[in-house]
Amino acid sequence: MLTRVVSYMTRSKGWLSWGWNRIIDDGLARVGAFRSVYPAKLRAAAADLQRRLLDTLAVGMTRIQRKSTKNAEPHVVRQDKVAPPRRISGLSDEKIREILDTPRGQRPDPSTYMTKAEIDEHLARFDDGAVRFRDANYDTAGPPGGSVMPKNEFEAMVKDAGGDLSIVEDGLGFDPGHLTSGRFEPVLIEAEDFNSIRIPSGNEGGANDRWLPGGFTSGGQAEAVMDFTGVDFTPIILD
Amino acid sequence: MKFGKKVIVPKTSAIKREPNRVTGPTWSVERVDGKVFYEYMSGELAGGIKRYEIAEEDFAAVYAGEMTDYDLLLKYNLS
Repeated sequence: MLTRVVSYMTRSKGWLSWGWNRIIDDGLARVGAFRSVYPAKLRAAAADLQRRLLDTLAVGMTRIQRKSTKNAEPHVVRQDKVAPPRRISGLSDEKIREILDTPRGQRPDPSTYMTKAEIDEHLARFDDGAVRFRDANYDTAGPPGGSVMPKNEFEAMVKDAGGDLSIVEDGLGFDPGHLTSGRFEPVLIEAEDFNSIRIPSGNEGGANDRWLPGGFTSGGQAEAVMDFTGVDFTPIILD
Repeated sequence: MKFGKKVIVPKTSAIKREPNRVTGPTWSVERVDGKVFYEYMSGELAGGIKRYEIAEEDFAAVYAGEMTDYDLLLKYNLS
């Protein structure tokens, strides 16, 4: 637009008087001066506008956030301090790492890092019996140091799954088909038949790379081990 | 849940030794065609029978009672 104005002003100088030409020259000089500085001024004005918009937006967002929380007043923390979540076993990450780094066969007995009350409380989960999945082709429920889970937790799992063994498989972290193939059958070991039930130390023959100290599997399932030599069992029939 | 008939398990844990086979309550070590296999019942929650090839010297050690099946699990990091 300025280019067109300059063009009209320059052409008009040819048919206007000397006095008017001076005014036009003065105008052209001002336009020239303006054109030399206006890009910088425009950039500065745009930057200023952007800063003001961002400041306004930040204030608005802060107000919205405060209104959406119980703590509507700025700089006042009203929540109570709570302890960080504990691992399901209650052991610290450092202790777990220390035990896992110990070679299998040399790992410490759980009584060295769990209190008697913790051990008793854990094993009380098995007072109603224990469940294990045995290979149906053999006449024993398991080897020495074989893993078991609490009967009532298995019952709850089956109930929640509506009797669908594929869901139970998934919940226990087994491969698909592990239970549904029929090769393995769940068996109940009654508490009176327990043989040296204990919290696994990780030294057991069945302790694999996913074993964790503290009596819980990596999936959070309570576990114990016992020696199955000569231990009677009762097949569980799932409809 | 329904339950079947309770299974009474023999209370024996004897180890039986034959020229090419040593058998325990839940495991065996056997020579087959020049190879030696350790077959055992896994202690995992749904642990079935697993089979693993081991060294000839291990057969001799197990046969002589110098090595147990648990030693084999540790040596070969089996579970």
